[in-house]
Amino acid sequence: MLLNIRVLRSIALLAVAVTRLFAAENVAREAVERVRPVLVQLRYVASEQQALAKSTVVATGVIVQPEQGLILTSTYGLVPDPPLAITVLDATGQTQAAKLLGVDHHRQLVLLSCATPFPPTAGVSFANAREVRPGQATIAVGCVFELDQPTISTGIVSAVNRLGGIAMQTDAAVSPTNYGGPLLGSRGEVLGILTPLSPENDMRAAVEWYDSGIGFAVPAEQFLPRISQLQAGKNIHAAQWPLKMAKGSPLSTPAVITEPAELQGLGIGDEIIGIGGRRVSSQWQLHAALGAYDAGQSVPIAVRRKTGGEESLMLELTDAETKPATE
Amino acid sequence: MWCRATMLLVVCGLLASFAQAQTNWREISPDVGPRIVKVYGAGGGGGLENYQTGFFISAEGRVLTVNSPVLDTDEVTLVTEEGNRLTARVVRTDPLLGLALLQAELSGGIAPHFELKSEFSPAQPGDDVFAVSNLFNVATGPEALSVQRGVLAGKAPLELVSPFDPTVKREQAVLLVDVVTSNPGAAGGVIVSSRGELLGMIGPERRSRVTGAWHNYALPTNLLADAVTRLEQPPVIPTSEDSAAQRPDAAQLARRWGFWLAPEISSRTPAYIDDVVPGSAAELAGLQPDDLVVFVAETSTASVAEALAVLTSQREAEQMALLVERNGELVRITLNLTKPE
Repeated sequence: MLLNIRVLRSIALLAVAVTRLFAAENVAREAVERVRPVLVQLRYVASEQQALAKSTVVATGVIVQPEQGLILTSTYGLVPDPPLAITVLDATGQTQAAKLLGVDHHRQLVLLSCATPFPPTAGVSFANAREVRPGQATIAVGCVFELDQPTISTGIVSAVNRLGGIAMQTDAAVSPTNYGGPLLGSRGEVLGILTPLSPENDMRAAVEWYDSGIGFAVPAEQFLPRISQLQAGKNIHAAQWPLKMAKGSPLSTPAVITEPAELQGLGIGDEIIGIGGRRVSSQWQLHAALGAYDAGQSVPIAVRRKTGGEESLMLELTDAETKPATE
Repeated sequence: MWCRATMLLVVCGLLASFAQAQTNWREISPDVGPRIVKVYGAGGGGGLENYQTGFFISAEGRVLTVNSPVLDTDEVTLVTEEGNRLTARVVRTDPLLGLALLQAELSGGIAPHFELKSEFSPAQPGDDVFAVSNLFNVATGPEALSVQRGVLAGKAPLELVSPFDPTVKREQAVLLVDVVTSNPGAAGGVIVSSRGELLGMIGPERRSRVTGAWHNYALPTNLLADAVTRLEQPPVIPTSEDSAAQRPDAAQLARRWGFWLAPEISSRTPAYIDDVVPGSAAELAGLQPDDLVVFVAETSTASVAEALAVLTSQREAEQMALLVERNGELVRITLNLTKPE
């Protein structure tokens, strides 16, 4: 009797193991099935002057607001020179033209719009970036060859909160084959949009990384709040630190201002000791904390005055292309 | 009694499927490894590798590999994973797929080999695969080749252009993998399933026409089987008519359809309509100067050259569907040569 129970138990365990193994084989395909309705194939007809050595670029996009015809993709093929024409092929087989609404240069994302709305795309969920953990399974999806036969690459989350917190890193193969497509979790939830990000924010560097086991995806928390801004045609740039600071190793030198004499209530000799609620004790920490912000955003700053005493104030961040707000 | 029999059946089924799913490289490598060889030949200077990979496809010692400068020599050397050295010579090469068929001198005995299946691979995207090759010539002496694990990324059309005649082109479905196989020496290696079945051969390094990125791909067994059948037959001399595809010139287009494309300044000149002949099929259909032709007969056309190529292939057509971009909108235009009643 005891033996029988043991046998039954081992059979049960075996059955569980087999189910899991079989499930594992189909995880990627099932996950891709769930996002298929939101995938679009984009074609960019380029002008002769454009840098890429091809006259048509094919890329992947993701429908983010079907009723408004909004599509998110990466900057690949769209920046710096926008194409002459953009066509969109969706899962229903319809082809239509798209308009470029706005570019998020900071996250290498572009918002496109189509005149005809897409069918309601139920069943697609965005993952909460705070619940994403390094080591969890990822599936990178693109559809540049055949829309109805997306390409799959599997891997894991290599790191979260990369590049100042705007992206997660994966070792799935991320390349022009899937830029603009979704990075999925094992249940088909969208962890982020695949983009050619690199620490230098240089498209060439990112493109050369595609077979190095380094890829980036921007999570929903980063792009959803910025859709209305892009929809209004406002491009987004990474924030630049508007003040010059004391020379020395950025790892150990405190963020003491040396120039200009006055900017938004800050002056020479003031030391930045906090940004966005984070304490900073070096210029490196300041820049790391700044990486999450866009130009035009206001950020709370904690400052130790040259004259003594600590204060908090709001600093409006700019980018390299705009003049400091006080001028 | 019934209960026991059913239970036995279930257990057998479970064990069988378990064994199948559980199979990993360690279990299949004794079977797969001996069928693959390292290929050494010419090269070795000026940045050219003198090594690549190949595999046996018959018991008599036929070996399939890629055609490359490595084979530009009278004899090449094959090294098995046990370190056996075999001399081989090139039987024939296939310019379109970039393949070469070799014959190894077997000193008696038979070669462990892969059977080339003539059907397209039944493997699905997301399936586990192993890539086995001598990438970077890491395996030199009597040692096993390098194995990489990945998944089948998908199937994609790949434009294969003959290295000897750029006008000979053919689009074929190939297998994409998500493991980096576009490495020196890897070409001629194999992609096998988790059960050790041959899915395809790692092809010569190629950039994708669609993405511009290096393809990590394999030529599926059906293409290989076709090519080998072709190579085993006596060569056929192609007639001149096969390659004499004639492109219509601008005047011919204007006479037939009634529109002029923009002058072809470079190979990438966008396919803008330059002018429309009054009273022509083009004008009746509503085509306008400055329309940008993005599709001709369901084929994407990014340049004047591509538009002309499609128009050539539809030389005899009485109807022609165009998709043009005009002021940010896509407009469908159907040109009709048949006169209305």
